[in-house]
Amino acid sequence: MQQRFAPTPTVLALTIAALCAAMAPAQAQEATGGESASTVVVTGTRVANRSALDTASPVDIISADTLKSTAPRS
Amino acid sequence: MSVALPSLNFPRPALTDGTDTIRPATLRGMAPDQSLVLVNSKRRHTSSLVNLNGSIGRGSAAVDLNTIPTAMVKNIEVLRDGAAAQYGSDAISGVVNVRLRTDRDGGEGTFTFGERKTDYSMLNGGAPAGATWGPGPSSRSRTDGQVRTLSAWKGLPWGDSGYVTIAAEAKSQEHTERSGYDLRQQYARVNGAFDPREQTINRYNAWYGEPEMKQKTVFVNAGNTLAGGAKVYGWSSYQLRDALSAGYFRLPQDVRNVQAIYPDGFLPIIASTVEDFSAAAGVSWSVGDWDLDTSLVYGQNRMNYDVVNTLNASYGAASKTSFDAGGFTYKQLVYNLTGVRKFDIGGLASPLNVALGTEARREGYELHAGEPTSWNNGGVLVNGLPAASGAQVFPGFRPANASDTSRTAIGVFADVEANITDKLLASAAVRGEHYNDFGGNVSGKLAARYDFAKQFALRGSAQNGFRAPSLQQQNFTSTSTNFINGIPYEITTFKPLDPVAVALGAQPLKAEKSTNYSLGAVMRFAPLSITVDAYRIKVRDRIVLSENLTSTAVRDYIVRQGFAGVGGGRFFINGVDTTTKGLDIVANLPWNAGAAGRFDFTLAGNVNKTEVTRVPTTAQLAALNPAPILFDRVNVLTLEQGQPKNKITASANWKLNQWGVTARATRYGKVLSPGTTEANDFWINEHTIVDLEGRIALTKKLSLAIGADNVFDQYSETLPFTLNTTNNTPFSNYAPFGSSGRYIYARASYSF
Repeated sequence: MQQRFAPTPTVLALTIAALCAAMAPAQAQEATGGESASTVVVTGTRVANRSALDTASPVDIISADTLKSTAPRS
Repeated sequence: MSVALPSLNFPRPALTDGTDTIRPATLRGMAPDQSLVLVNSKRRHTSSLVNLNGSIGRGSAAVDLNTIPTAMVKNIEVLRDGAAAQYGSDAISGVVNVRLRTDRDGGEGTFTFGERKTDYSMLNGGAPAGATWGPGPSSRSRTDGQVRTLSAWKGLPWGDSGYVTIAAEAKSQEHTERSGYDLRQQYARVNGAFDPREQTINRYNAWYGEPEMKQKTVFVNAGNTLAGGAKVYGWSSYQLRDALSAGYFRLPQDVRNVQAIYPDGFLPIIASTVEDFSAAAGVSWSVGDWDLDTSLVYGQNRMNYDVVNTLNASYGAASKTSFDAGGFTYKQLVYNLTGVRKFDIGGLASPLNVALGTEARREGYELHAGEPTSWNNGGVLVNGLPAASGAQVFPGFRPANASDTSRTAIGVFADVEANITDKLLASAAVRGEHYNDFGGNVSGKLAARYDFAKQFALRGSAQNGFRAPSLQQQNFTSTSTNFINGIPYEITTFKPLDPVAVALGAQPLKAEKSTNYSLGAVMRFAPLSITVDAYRIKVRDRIVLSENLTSTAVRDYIVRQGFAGVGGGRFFINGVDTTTKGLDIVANLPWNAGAAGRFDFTLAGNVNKTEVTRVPTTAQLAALNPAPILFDRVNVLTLEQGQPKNKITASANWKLNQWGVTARATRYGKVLSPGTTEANDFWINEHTIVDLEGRIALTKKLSLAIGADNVFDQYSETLPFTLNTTNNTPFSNYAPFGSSGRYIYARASYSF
């Protein structure tokens, strides 16, 4: 990591804003476990049974249902 | 798809000669061809079309995600990190892996109808002094762009454990029309006065918007376990797509019009036909401790152009009005063999996972010519000068452009991954490639993750990657004829190896090389999960399409080199260096509110900044006076600021018994629509697009949904007349959310 990414003030502000916004409703809730977080991924790793939040690189999962309701035109 | 994917964008240009029927994706502000698309973890073939127009992704040939119907998709994994050391070429900014359904029972049929219901504003201009028409309305209501999609998938059993999943989709889409009110003088004056038809002609004369499209797709995915435990699998897809996209309106009095054919001018239409086919077969089995997998995947994409409602002005009144303009085909055959096994090694907290593999690939690209009248000159003179050659809007490919080429590539890779301690996960990959055209490449990747606690982990990677020049970039060529003082000069998009391009300083294309660093954090405070990932991607020697070099100095120089009648042109060249830095944040929170239902909140944000640190030059061009610029301001700024600087998406899903609602807001940061000079730059300000959908399950099998995308009917700021001198394109093609306005739809699904 010779030249590390240096966050600008905007980046930091956005990070903090995003974290606060996301955490705010978290306080009074019961655990259900995110569906996508526990789904096994096969991209970027050749280990079987690696779940999306356990990878060394970020992997997002778009489910068929999400796809259906977010891409009505495509 | 933008929801959980902060840095994924789908540029939506219009009036771009067929590019508008393909829906390439970009990750992290990079080009569409700098991310790799896989289907079931195997490399998918790209479109045969290389995007030549001035829109996002100029110069790239990308995978067309429209060829995969959503009914066939189980889910899509998006790796937001380079992975060239694992998958080879193209995986610079990330990998999109489409995983197909593997159902052996069940099924669902869906019908969707949607249309645009929208209002937009115009800034009309161009009326001559004393015009007997105008000023025209400043806003307009439209209902158009009707889309009907009928799709179904069905899972069938194959033996005791196998599956055959079939999906089919038929889709038709009407075009949208967001023209300006064209105030220009349309007809020549009659005895010094304006033609009376000026008052009656339809001044909404363009088709700016989404193309008209008819598309049929079938997709099959099958797999089974054999008696010995080996698994066989395969899939196949076929799509036929006819699309109509318009060019710019040719005014009645335009010298490119023949009034005997089109007394009121014409809107030339590019009718592209895409035929896409893929087939794959593979086996996975075990030998000792090794899990082996071998597969053969074929893909082919053919695009042919007809140009209709047009003419070849050089044939005068005898011209045909539709032409076969030729087209191109891309083919890819990929063979894979991979072995994976675990080694127990003392001192490691988990077995060492080792993967070794090889991939052989053969690609082909063929370009075929159009009919002669689609490009040649019929000899008719207009005002004593030769008339324009070829079909208006899209002159056909000439026999001299035709080619049929192929290349092969072989890659080998090794990939290890293990938990060194309970908290430290590390992986390393290395991959070597040899291409028979430009040579070899070695990529490496190191990635690690440290789990400080169950709630918090840091992850990071360092790697280099590459993107091989595409066959499309190496071999696409087309020629048009320009008359300069009555003398014909050929203007060509040259192959980089063409002698004229070489005389201008072109070199054989070599690979783009990238270096990526990323550092991120994963936080889990059940049920809340948050990921924050920063990245820095340096790309050296990006391949770009040069400016059209047609100045007098260039032309004189080319003619002096012995190329008579050649007026210049453009070519693909290595030589742009860029540095992209950014940050992705995704927060997800499922919430069971008991009697009030279940919620799922997602907040995703991205900031991204690209800098161009080097542009290509050639000694030959630098020696000219004046020296032309090889890669100009507009293209530099398109790379730097043509995609949103930031993007935030907040979405909420709610479900209670038979009811469901999805609400989503996406805020796109500023985007620059660059001009040739700073005075012509146009900024698209921040816009928030809100999408809403409500669902109800009427019975266990039947459910209905209604929704709207872009509920508040947002457009980018209307272009002033100075940037829209034809009145044909009231909005910038750089608008990240398109220029078609609100879309409302209803969907009925029946499961069986």
